[in-house]
Amino acid sequence: MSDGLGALSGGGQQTIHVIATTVDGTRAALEAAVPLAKGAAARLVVTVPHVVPYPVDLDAPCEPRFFVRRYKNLIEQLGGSATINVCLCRRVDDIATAVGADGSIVVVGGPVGRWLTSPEERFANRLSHQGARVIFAASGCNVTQRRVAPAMAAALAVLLAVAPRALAQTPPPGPPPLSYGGFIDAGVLVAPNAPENHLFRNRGTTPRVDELEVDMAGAYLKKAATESSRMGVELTAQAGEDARLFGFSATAPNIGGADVLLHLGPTNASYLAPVGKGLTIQGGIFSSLIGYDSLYAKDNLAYTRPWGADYTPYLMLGGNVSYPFNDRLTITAGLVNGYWHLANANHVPSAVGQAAYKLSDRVTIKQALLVGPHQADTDVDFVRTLSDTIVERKTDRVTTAFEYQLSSERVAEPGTPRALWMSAQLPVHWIVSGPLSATVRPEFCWDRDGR
Amino acid sequence: MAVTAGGEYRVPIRGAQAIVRAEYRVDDSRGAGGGFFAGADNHLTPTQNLFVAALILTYDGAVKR
Repeated sequence: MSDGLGALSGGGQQTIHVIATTVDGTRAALEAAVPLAKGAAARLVVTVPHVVPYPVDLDAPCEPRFFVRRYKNLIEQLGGSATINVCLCRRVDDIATAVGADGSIVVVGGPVGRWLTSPEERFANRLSHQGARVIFAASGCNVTQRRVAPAMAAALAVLLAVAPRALAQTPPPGPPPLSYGGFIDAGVLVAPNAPENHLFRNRGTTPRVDELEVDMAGAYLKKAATESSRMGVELTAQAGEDARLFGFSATAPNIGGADVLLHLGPTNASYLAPVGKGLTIQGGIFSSLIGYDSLYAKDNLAYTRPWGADYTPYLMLGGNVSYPFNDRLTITAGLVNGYWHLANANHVPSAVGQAAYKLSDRVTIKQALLVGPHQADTDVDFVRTLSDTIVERKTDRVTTAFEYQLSSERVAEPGTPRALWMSAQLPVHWIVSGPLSATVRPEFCWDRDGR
Repeated sequence: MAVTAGGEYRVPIRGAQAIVRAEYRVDDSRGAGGGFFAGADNHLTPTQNLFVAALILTYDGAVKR
Protein backbone atom coordinates (compact mmCIF):
# COMPACT_ATOMS: atom_id res chain seq x y z
CA MET A 1 0.00 0.00 0.00
CA SER A 2 1.20 3.50 -0.70
CA ASP A 3 -0.12 6.92 0.13
CA GLY A 4 -0.60 10.29 -1.53
CA LEU A 5 -1.54 11.55 -4.95
CA GLY A 6 1.91 10.90 -6.29
CA ALA A 7 1.29 7.18 -5.85
CA LEU A 8 -1.26 7.19 -8.65
CA SER A 9 1.32 6.82 -11.35
CA GLY A 10 1.79 3.66 -13.27
CA GLY A 11 4.89 2.16 -14.77
CA GLY A 12 5.57 1.38 -18.41
CA GLN A 13 2.87 -1.27 -18.17
CA GLN A 14 -0.63 -0.12 -18.93
CA THR A 15 -2.52 0.79 -15.79
CA ILE A 16 -6.19 0.46 -15.07
CA HIS A 17 -7.39 2.46 -12.12
CA VAL A 18 -10.35 1.66 -9.94
CA ILE A 19 -11.49 4.51 -7.74
CA ALA A 20 -13.15 3.20 -4.62
CA THR A 21 -16.55 4.70 -3.96
CA THR A 22 -19.12 2.84 -1.92
CA VAL A 23 -18.62 -0.82 -1.10
CA ASP A 24 -21.23 -1.86 -3.66
CA GLY A 25 -19.91 0.56 -6.23
CA THR A 26 -16.34 -0.58 -5.74
CA ARG A 27 -17.45 -4.19 -6.00
CA ALA A 28 -19.11 -3.44 -9.34
CA ALA A 29 -16.03 -1.60 -10.54
CA LEU A 30 -13.73 -4.45 -9.55
CA GLU A 31 -15.96 -7.03 -11.18
CA ALA A 32 -15.47 -5.12 -14.41
CA ALA A 33 -11.85 -4.11 -13.94
CA VAL A 34 -10.31 -7.40 -12.78
CA PRO A 35 -11.14 -9.38 -15.94
CA LEU A 36 -10.30 -6.33 -18.00
CA ALA A 37 -6.86 -6.03 -16.43
CA LYS A 38 -6.23 -9.74 -16.74
CA GLY A 39 -7.22 -9.77 -20.38
CA ALA A 40 -5.06 -6.79 -21.22
CA ALA A 41 -2.16 -7.83 -19.00
CA ALA A 42 -2.53 -4.45 -17.42
CA ARG A 43 -1.64 -3.36 -13.93
CA LEU A 44 -4.65 -2.82 -11.69
CA VAL A 45 -4.51 -0.03 -9.12
CA VAL A 46 -7.31 0.51 -6.64
CA THR A 47 -7.30 4.01 -5.24
CA VAL A 48 -9.11 4.57 -1.97
CA PRO A 49 -9.63 8.33 -1.51
CA HIS A 50 -9.11 9.45 2.05
CA VAL A 51 -9.95 13.10 2.55
CA VAL A 52 -7.88 14.68 5.29
CA PRO A 53 -8.09 18.15 6.87
CA TYR A 54 -5.42 20.73 6.19
CA PRO A 55 -3.46 20.22 9.44
CA VAL A 56 -2.65 16.68 8.31
CA ASP A 57 0.25 16.47 5.94
CA LEU A 58 -0.53 14.74 2.66
CA ASP A 59 2.60 12.67 3.06
CA ALA A 60 1.59 11.48 6.49
CA PRO A 61 1.51 7.71 6.91
CA CYS A 62 -1.94 6.22 6.70
CA GLU A 63 -2.99 3.09 8.50
CA PRO A 64 -4.76 0.44 6.45
CA ARG A 65 -8.46 0.31 7.08
CA PHE A 66 -10.85 -2.55 7.09
CA PHE A 67 -12.17 -1.73 3.66
CA VAL A 68 -8.71 -2.09 2.20
CA ARG A 69 -8.68 -5.66 3.46
CA ARG A 70 -12.20 -6.07 2.09
CA TYR A 71 -11.12 -4.92 -1.35
CA LYS A 72 -8.10 -7.22 -1.25
CA ASN A 73 -10.35 -10.15 -0.43
CA LEU A 74 -12.73 -9.24 -3.20
CA ILE A 75 -9.94 -8.95 -5.74
CA GLU A 76 -8.64 -12.34 -4.70
CA GLN A 77 -12.13 -13.82 -5.04
CA LEU A 78 -12.25 -12.45 -8.56
CA GLY A 79 -8.92 -14.09 -9.31
CA GLY A 80 -6.98 -10.92 -9.80
CA SER A 81 -4.29 -8.90 -8.15
CA ALA A 82 -4.03 -5.21 -7.56
CA THR A 83 -2.13 -2.50 -5.82
CA ILE A 84 -4.24 -0.67 -3.30
CA ASN A 85 -3.46 2.99 -2.66
CA VAL A 86 -5.02 4.82 0.23
CA CYS A 87 -4.74 8.23 -1.29
CA LEU A 88 -4.64 11.17 1.09
CA CYS A 89 -6.16 14.23 -0.49
CA ARG A 90 -7.88 17.46 0.40
CA ARG A 91 -10.82 16.83 -1.90
CA VAL A 92 -11.95 13.79 -3.82
CA ASP A 93 -11.65 15.87 -6.98
CA ASP A 94 -7.89 15.99 -6.42
CA ILE A 95 -7.99 12.33 -7.36
CA ALA A 96 -9.76 13.23 -10.58
CA THR A 97 -7.04 15.73 -11.43
CA ALA A 98 -4.22 13.31 -10.68
CA VAL A 99 -5.71 10.26 -12.37
CA GLY A 100 -7.16 12.14 -15.31
CA ALA A 101 -3.86 13.78 -16.14
CA ASP A 102 -2.30 10.68 -17.70
CA GLY A 103 -5.30 9.62 -19.78
CA SER A 104 -5.49 6.20 -18.09
CA ILE A 105 -8.48 3.91 -18.09
CA VAL A 106 -10.39 4.52 -14.90
CA VAL A 107 -13.24 2.34 -13.68
CA VAL A 108 -15.74 3.89 -11.30
CA GLY A 109 -18.68 2.04 -9.84
CA GLY A 110 -21.89 3.30 -8.35
CA PRO A 111 -25.63 3.41 -8.63
CA VAL A 112 -27.31 4.72 -11.73
CA GLY A 113 -30.49 6.61 -11.15
CA ARG A 114 -33.18 6.54 -13.74
CA TRP A 115 -33.90 10.22 -13.40
CA LEU A 116 -30.66 11.75 -12.32
CA THR A 117 -26.98 11.14 -12.14
CA SER A 118 -25.59 9.73 -8.94
CA PRO A 119 -22.60 11.32 -7.16
CA GLU A 120 -20.49 8.49 -8.53
CA GLU A 121 -21.67 9.24 -12.07
CA ARG A 122 -20.91 12.91 -11.62
CA PHE A 123 -17.45 12.05 -10.31
CA ALA A 124 -16.95 9.85 -13.37
CA ASN A 125 -17.97 12.77 -15.56
CA ARG A 126 -15.43 15.02 -13.88
CA LEU A 127 -12.77 12.37 -14.40
CA SER A 128 -13.70 12.25 -18.04
CA HIS A 129 -13.37 16.01 -18.29
CA GLN A 130 -9.88 15.71 -16.81
CA GLY A 131 -8.90 13.49 -19.72
CA ALA A 132 -9.30 10.02 -18.24
CA ARG A 133 -10.92 7.21 -20.21
CA VAL A 134 -13.70 6.42 -17.83
CA ILE A 135 -15.76 3.26 -17.59
CA PHE A 136 -18.72 3.44 -15.28
CA ALA A 137 -19.79 0.18 -13.67
CA ALA A 138 -23.39 0.30 -12.53
CA SER A 139 -24.51 -1.12 -9.20
CA GLY A 140 -27.73 -1.05 -7.26
CA CYS A 141 -31.37 -1.66 -8.00
CA ASN A 142 -31.57 0.71 -10.94
CA VAL A 143 -29.05 -1.18 -13.01
CA THR A 144 -30.37 -1.77 -16.49
CA GLN A 145 -29.35 -4.56 -18.82
CA ARG A 146 -27.82 -2.03 -21.12
CA ARG A 147 -25.34 -1.04 -18.47
CA VAL A 148 -24.26 -4.36 -17.00
CA ALA A 149 -21.41 -6.69 -17.66
CA PRO A 150 -21.96 -8.08 -21.20
CA ALA A 151 -22.33 -4.73 -22.85
CA MET A 152 -19.64 -3.30 -20.62
CA ALA A 153 -17.22 -6.06 -21.47
CA ALA A 154 -17.71 -5.31 -25.14
CA ALA A 155 -17.16 -1.63 -24.51
CA LEU A 156 -14.07 -2.39 -22.49
CA ALA A 157 -12.63 -4.51 -25.25
CA VAL A 158 -13.11 -1.68 -27.72
CA LEU A 159 -11.63 0.81 -25.31
CA LEU A 160 -8.61 -1.38 -24.68
CA ALA A 161 -8.01 -1.72 -28.36
CA VAL A 162 -7.94 1.99 -28.93
CA ALA A 163 -6.58 3.22 -25.62
CA PRO A 164 -3.07 4.61 -25.73
CA ARG A 165 -0.59 3.33 -23.22
CA ALA A 166 -0.58 5.13 -19.94
CA LEU A 167 2.10 7.68 -19.33
CA ALA A 168 5.04 6.42 -17.35
CA GLN A 169 4.61 9.03 -14.66
CA THR A 170 1.63 11.02 -13.50
CA PRO A 171 2.74 14.59 -12.94
CA PRO A 172 2.38 15.60 -9.31
CA PRO A 173 -0.52 17.89 -8.58
CA GLY A 174 0.66 21.45 -9.10
CA PRO A 175 -0.94 24.75 -8.31
CA PRO A 176 -4.65 24.87 -9.02
CA PRO A 177 -5.58 25.64 -12.57
CA LEU A 178 -6.70 29.00 -13.68
CA SER A 179 -10.34 28.87 -14.51
CA TYR A 180 -12.02 31.12 -16.97
CA GLY A 181 -15.31 31.40 -18.72
CA GLY A 182 -18.05 33.54 -20.03
CA PHE A 183 -21.79 33.68 -20.09
CA ILE A 184 -24.65 35.54 -21.62
CA ASP A 185 -28.27 35.44 -20.68
CA ALA A 186 -31.11 36.88 -22.66
CA GLY A 187 -34.74 36.81 -21.77
CA VAL A 188 -38.12 38.25 -22.43
CA LEU A 189 -40.64 38.95 -19.69
CA VAL A 190 -44.09 39.16 -21.16
CA ALA A 191 -46.44 41.21 -19.00
CA PRO A 192 -50.16 41.06 -19.84
CA ASN A 193 -50.45 44.40 -18.02
CA ALA A 194 -48.52 45.83 -21.00
CA PRO A 195 -47.05 48.93 -19.33
CA GLU A 196 -46.10 51.62 -21.81
CA ASN A 197 -42.77 52.24 -20.04
CA HIS A 198 -41.83 48.54 -20.19
CA LEU A 199 -40.69 48.60 -16.56
CA PHE A 200 -40.89 45.92 -13.90
CA ARG A 201 -41.41 48.40 -11.11
CA ASN A 202 -38.86 48.68 -8.28
CA ARG A 203 -36.57 46.01 -9.66
CA GLY A 204 -32.77 45.94 -9.68
CA THR A 205 -32.58 42.92 -11.98
CA THR A 206 -34.72 41.89 -14.97
CA PRO A 207 -36.08 45.44 -14.87
CA ARG A 208 -37.71 45.52 -18.31
CA VAL A 209 -40.77 43.73 -19.62
CA ASP A 210 -42.17 43.10 -23.07
CA GLU A 211 -38.73 43.42 -24.63
CA LEU A 212 -36.08 40.88 -25.50
CA GLU A 213 -33.11 41.96 -23.43
CA VAL A 214 -29.60 40.77 -22.77
CA ASP A 215 -29.95 40.89 -19.03
CA MET A 216 -26.37 39.93 -18.28
CA ALA A 217 -23.21 39.03 -20.13
CA GLY A 218 -19.90 38.47 -18.47
CA ALA A 219 -16.47 36.96 -18.57
CA TYR A 220 -14.28 35.87 -15.71
CA LEU A 221 -10.81 34.69 -14.85
CA LYS A 222 -10.21 33.08 -11.51
CA LYS A 223 -7.40 31.52 -9.57
CA ALA A 224 -8.22 30.27 -6.11
CA ALA A 225 -5.86 30.80 -3.19
CA THR A 226 -4.69 27.39 -2.05
CA GLU A 227 -2.05 25.86 0.13
CA SER A 228 0.22 25.24 -2.83
CA SER A 229 -0.32 28.66 -4.38
CA ARG A 230 -1.45 31.09 -1.73
CA MET A 231 -2.30 34.11 -3.86
CA GLY A 232 -5.67 34.14 -5.52
CA VAL A 233 -7.31 36.48 -7.94
CA GLU A 234 -10.75 36.89 -9.42
CA LEU A 235 -11.59 39.18 -12.31
CA THR A 236 -15.10 39.56 -13.70
CA ALA A 237 -16.36 41.95 -16.35
CA GLN A 238 -20.08 42.29 -16.94
CA ALA A 239 -22.66 44.24 -18.90
CA GLY A 240 -26.37 44.12 -19.54
CA GLU A 241 -29.65 45.34 -18.08
CA ASP A 242 -29.00 43.61 -14.76
CA ALA A 243 -25.72 45.47 -14.36
CA ARG A 244 -27.26 48.92 -14.55
CA LEU A 245 -29.09 49.30 -11.25
CA PHE A 246 -28.40 46.55 -8.76
CA GLY A 247 -25.54 48.19 -6.82
CA PHE A 248 -26.98 51.68 -6.50
CA SER A 249 -29.10 53.31 -3.82
CA ALA A 250 -32.33 55.19 -4.39
CA THR A 251 -31.45 57.60 -1.58
CA ALA A 252 -27.66 57.95 -1.58
CA PRO A 253 -25.24 59.38 -4.18
CA ASN A 254 -22.98 57.16 -6.23
CA ILE A 255 -19.36 56.50 -5.38
CA GLY A 256 -16.66 57.84 -7.67
CA GLY A 257 -16.10 55.71 -10.73
CA ALA A 258 -19.42 53.95 -10.32
CA ASP A 259 -20.04 54.08 -14.05
CA VAL A 260 -16.96 51.91 -14.53
CA LEU A 261 -17.33 49.76 -11.43
CA LEU A 262 -20.84 48.68 -12.42
CA HIS A 263 -19.17 46.66 -15.15
CA LEU A 264 -17.15 44.68 -12.61
CA GLY A 265 -18.51 41.58 -10.97
CA PRO A 266 -16.45 39.77 -8.33
CA THR A 267 -13.01 41.30 -8.83
CA ASN A 268 -10.63 40.82 -5.97
CA ALA A 269 -7.34 39.48 -4.71
CA SER A 270 -7.01 36.94 -1.95
CA TYR A 271 -4.33 35.29 0.13
CA LEU A 272 -4.45 32.04 2.05
CA ALA A 273 -2.38 32.75 5.13
CA PRO A 274 -0.68 29.73 6.77
CA VAL A 275 -2.53 30.22 10.02
CA GLY A 276 -4.11 27.19 11.64
CA LYS A 277 -6.40 25.58 9.11
CA GLY A 278 -5.85 28.41 6.66
CA LEU A 279 -7.02 32.01 6.96
CA THR A 280 -8.25 33.50 3.69
CA ILE A 281 -7.91 37.26 3.33
CA GLN A 282 -9.80 38.83 0.46
CA GLY A 283 -10.06 42.41 -0.79
CA GLY A 284 -11.94 44.06 -3.63
CA ILE A 285 -15.41 43.39 -4.97
CA PHE A 286 -16.65 40.06 -3.73
CA SER A 287 -19.91 38.14 -3.73
CA SER A 288 -22.22 39.31 -0.99
CA LEU A 289 -22.35 37.40 2.26
CA ILE A 290 -26.04 38.32 2.32
CA GLY A 291 -28.61 36.44 0.31
CA TYR A 292 -29.32 33.06 -1.24
CA ASP A 293 -29.44 34.26 -4.84
CA SER A 294 -26.67 35.35 -7.14
CA LEU A 295 -26.55 38.38 -9.38
CA TYR A 296 -26.16 35.95 -12.24
CA ALA A 297 -29.24 34.02 -13.34
CA LYS A 298 -27.10 31.09 -14.45
CA ASP A 299 -26.28 30.35 -10.82
CA ASN A 300 -29.86 30.60 -9.54
CA LEU A 301 -32.75 28.19 -9.39
CA ALA A 302 -35.04 30.56 -11.29
CA TYR A 303 -34.47 33.23 -13.91
CA THR A 304 -36.04 36.14 -12.07
CA ARG A 305 -34.80 36.91 -8.58
CA PRO A 306 -36.89 37.17 -5.43
CA TRP A 307 -37.59 40.58 -3.95
CA GLY A 308 -35.36 39.85 -1.00
CA ALA A 309 -32.41 39.42 -3.35
CA ASP A 310 -33.02 42.61 -5.26
CA TYR A 311 -33.37 44.64 -2.04
CA THR A 312 -30.14 43.36 -0.51
CA PRO A 313 -26.54 43.46 -1.80
CA TYR A 314 -25.44 41.09 -4.56
CA LEU A 315 -21.85 42.31 -4.33
CA MET A 316 -19.76 43.98 -1.64
CA LEU A 317 -16.78 46.31 -1.87
CA GLY A 318 -14.19 46.02 0.87
CA GLY A 319 -12.30 43.24 2.59
CA ASN A 320 -12.99 40.12 4.54
CA VAL A 321 -11.28 37.27 6.32
CA SER A 322 -12.59 33.73 6.34
CA TYR A 323 -11.56 30.87 8.58
CA PRO A 324 -12.72 27.23 8.62
CA PHE A 325 -12.78 26.26 12.28
CA ASN A 326 -13.50 22.67 11.33
CA ASP A 327 -15.10 20.69 8.52
CA ARG A 328 -18.50 22.04 9.43
CA LEU A 329 -18.09 25.64 10.56
CA THR A 330 -16.65 28.55 8.59
CA ILE A 331 -16.75 32.11 9.87
CA THR A 332 -16.32 35.11 7.58
CA ALA A 333 -16.09 38.71 8.75
CA GLY A 334 -15.32 41.90 6.94
CA LEU A 335 -15.69 45.62 6.42
CA VAL A 336 -17.46 46.99 3.37
CA ASN A 337 -18.05 50.49 2.08
CA GLY A 338 -21.79 50.35 2.67
CA TYR A 339 -25.07 48.61 2.02
CA TRP A 340 -24.93 49.17 -1.75
CA HIS A 341 -21.42 48.83 -3.03
CA LEU A 342 -21.81 51.55 -5.67
CA ALA A 343 -23.47 54.05 -3.31
CA ASN A 344 -21.80 56.53 -1.03
CA ALA A 345 -24.31 57.14 1.74
CA ASN A 346 -21.52 58.26 4.08
CA HIS A 347 -17.86 57.60 4.83
CA VAL A 348 -18.39 55.08 7.60
CA PRO A 349 -17.90 51.44 6.63
CA SER A 350 -20.34 48.69 7.49
CA ALA A 351 -19.42 45.48 9.26
CA VAL A 352 -20.53 42.19 7.79
CA GLY A 353 -20.20 38.67 9.04
CA GLN A 354 -21.41 35.21 8.22
CA ALA A 355 -21.36 31.88 9.99
CA ALA A 356 -21.84 28.89 7.70
CA TYR A 357 -22.48 25.61 9.48
CA LYS A 358 -22.84 22.27 7.76
CA LEU A 359 -25.37 20.47 9.91
CA SER A 360 -25.10 17.29 7.87
CA ASP A 361 -24.07 16.20 4.40
CA ARG A 362 -27.37 17.57 3.15
CA VAL A 363 -28.20 20.51 5.37
CA THR A 364 -26.35 23.80 5.61
CA ILE A 365 -27.27 26.75 7.79
CA LYS A 366 -25.98 30.26 7.17
CA GLN A 367 -26.49 33.25 9.38
CA ALA A 368 -25.25 36.64 8.17
CA LEU A 369 -25.37 40.05 9.74
CA LEU A 370 -24.71 43.46 8.19
CA VAL A 371 -24.42 46.46 10.51
CA GLY A 372 -23.66 50.03 9.48
CA PRO A 373 -25.11 53.42 8.76
CA HIS A 374 -26.86 53.87 5.45
CA GLN A 375 -27.85 57.49 5.91
CA ALA A 376 -25.92 60.74 5.79
CA ASP A 377 -26.25 60.98 9.57
CA THR A 378 -23.86 58.31 10.85
CA ASP A 379 -24.86 58.55 14.50
CA VAL A 380 -25.05 55.11 16.06
CA ASP A 381 -28.79 55.61 16.54
CA PHE A 382 -29.28 55.46 12.79
CA VAL A 383 -27.34 52.30 12.08
CA ARG A 384 -29.07 49.82 9.80
CA THR A 385 -29.01 46.20 10.87
CA LEU A 386 -29.80 43.36 8.49
CA SER A 387 -30.05 39.74 9.47
CA ASP A 388 -30.13 36.99 6.85
CA THR A 389 -30.87 33.39 7.79
CA ILE A 390 -30.64 30.59 5.25
CA VAL A 391 -31.32 26.91 5.70
CA GLU A 392 -30.67 24.75 2.67
CA ARG A 393 -31.27 21.04 2.25
CA LYS A 394 -29.76 19.49 -0.81
CA THR A 395 -30.18 15.95 -2.07
CA ASP A 396 -29.32 14.51 -5.43
CA ARG A 397 -32.73 15.37 -6.82
CA VAL A 398 -34.22 18.08 -4.66
CA THR A 399 -32.88 21.34 -3.29
CA THR A 400 -35.02 23.10 -0.73
CA ALA A 401 -34.10 26.35 0.93
CA PHE A 402 -35.67 28.77 3.33
CA GLU A 403 -34.42 32.31 3.69
CA TYR A 404 -35.59 34.95 6.11
CA GLN A 405 -34.31 38.51 6.13
CA LEU A 406 -35.06 41.19 8.68
CA SER A 407 -33.75 44.73 8.53
CA SER A 408 -34.36 47.79 10.62
CA GLU A 409 -33.04 51.30 11.17
CA ARG A 410 -34.12 54.56 12.72
CA VAL A 411 -34.65 57.24 10.10
CA ALA A 412 -32.85 60.54 10.62
CA GLU A 413 -35.91 62.73 10.34
CA PRO A 414 -38.18 64.40 12.87
CA GLY A 415 -39.43 61.80 15.34
CA THR A 416 -36.71 59.34 14.24
CA PRO A 417 -39.24 56.70 13.25
CA ARG A 418 -38.05 53.11 13.02
CA ALA A 419 -38.19 51.60 9.55
CA LEU A 420 -38.72 47.88 9.23
CA TRP A 421 -38.29 45.55 6.30
CA MET A 422 -38.47 41.80 6.01
CA SER A 423 -38.66 39.12 3.37
CA ALA A 424 -38.74 35.36 3.08
CA GLN A 425 -38.60 32.81 0.32
CA LEU A 426 -38.98 29.06 0.07
CA PRO A 427 -37.54 27.82 -3.24
CA VAL A 428 -37.82 24.16 -4.13
CA HIS A 429 -35.82 22.84 -7.07
CA TRP A 430 -36.47 19.36 -8.42
CA ILE A 431 -34.37 17.57 -11.00
CA VAL A 432 -37.11 15.80 -12.91
CA SER A 433 -34.96 13.85 -15.32
CA GLY A 434 -31.35 14.41 -16.31
CA PRO A 435 -31.18 17.88 -17.81
CA LEU A 436 -34.80 18.72 -17.03
CA SER A 437 -35.64 20.41 -13.75
CA ALA A 438 -38.40 22.48 -12.21
CA THR A 439 -38.55 25.17 -9.56
CA VAL A 440 -41.31 26.62 -7.42
CA ARG A 441 -40.63 29.61 -5.23
CA PRO A 442 -43.18 31.29 -3.00
CA GLU A 443 -41.98 34.48 -1.34
CA PHE A 444 -43.08 37.54 0.51
CA CYS A 445 -41.52 40.90 1.08
CA TRP A 446 -42.78 43.58 3.44
CA ASP A 447 -41.43 47.12 3.46
CA ARG A 448 -43.46 48.63 6.24
CA ASP A 449 -42.14 52.13 5.79
CA GLY A 450 -41.36 52.31 2.11
CA ARG A 451 -37.62 52.78 2.67
CA MET B 1 -46.05 38.45 -2.29
CA ALA B 2 -44.95 36.52 -5.29
CA VAL B 3 -44.94 32.98 -6.58
CA THR B 4 -42.58 31.81 -9.29
CA ALA B 5 -42.78 28.49 -11.07
CA GLY B 6 -40.65 27.37 -13.94
CA GLY B 7 -38.82 24.70 -15.82
CA GLU B 8 -35.28 24.43 -17.04
CA TYR B 9 -33.55 22.32 -19.65
CA ARG B 10 -29.77 22.11 -19.89
CA VAL B 11 -28.07 21.22 -23.14
CA PRO B 12 -24.32 20.58 -23.19
CA ILE B 13 -22.64 21.93 -26.30
CA ARG B 14 -19.04 20.69 -26.31
CA GLY B 15 -17.43 22.61 -23.45
CA ALA B 16 -20.31 25.02 -23.22
CA GLN B 17 -23.82 24.73 -21.92
CA ALA B 18 -27.14 26.17 -22.97
CA ILE B 19 -29.80 26.63 -20.32
CA VAL B 20 -33.33 27.18 -21.51
CA ARG B 21 -35.78 28.44 -18.93
CA ALA B 22 -39.50 29.05 -19.02
CA GLU B 23 -41.07 30.68 -16.03
CA TYR B 24 -44.35 32.03 -14.78
CA ARG B 25 -44.42 34.59 -12.03
CA VAL B 26 -47.21 36.43 -10.30
CA ASP B 27 -46.53 39.37 -8.00
CA ASP B 28 -49.01 41.03 -5.72
CA SER B 29 -48.02 44.32 -4.15
CA ARG B 30 -50.43 46.49 -2.20
CA GLY B 31 -50.32 49.44 0.14
CA ALA B 32 -48.43 52.71 -0.02
CA GLY B 33 -45.71 52.52 -2.64
CA GLY B 34 -46.94 49.19 -3.95
CA GLY B 35 -48.19 48.17 -7.35
CA PHE B 36 -46.95 47.59 -10.86
CA PHE B 37 -47.12 49.64 -14.01
CA ALA B 38 -49.88 48.84 -16.45
CA GLY B 39 -51.41 50.18 -19.62
CA ALA B 40 -50.62 53.08 -21.88
CA ASP B 41 -50.77 55.54 -18.99
CA ASN B 42 -48.52 53.44 -16.73
CA HIS B 43 -51.07 53.45 -13.94
CA LEU B 44 -50.41 51.24 -10.94
CA THR B 45 -52.15 47.94 -10.47
CA PRO B 46 -51.61 45.57 -7.52
CA THR B 47 -51.07 42.40 -9.52
CA GLN B 48 -48.62 41.56 -12.25
CA ASN B 49 -48.35 38.32 -14.19
CA LEU B 50 -45.15 37.57 -16.06
CA PHE B 51 -44.39 34.88 -18.59
CA VAL B 52 -40.65 34.51 -18.96
CA ALA B 53 -38.58 32.80 -21.61
CA ALA B 54 -34.81 32.91 -21.31
CA LEU B 55 -31.71 31.45 -22.84
CA ILE B 56 -28.45 31.33 -20.90
CA LEU B 57 -25.19 30.30 -22.54
CA THR B 58 -22.21 29.52 -20.36
CA TYR B 59 -18.70 28.36 -20.96
CA ASP B 60 -16.28 27.32 -18.22
CA GLY B 61 -12.73 26.30 -18.92
CA ALA B 62 -9.52 25.71 -17.02
CA VAL B 63 -5.85 26.11 -17.79
CA LYS B 64 -3.74 23.33 -16.29
CA ARG B 65 -0.33 24.39 -15.10
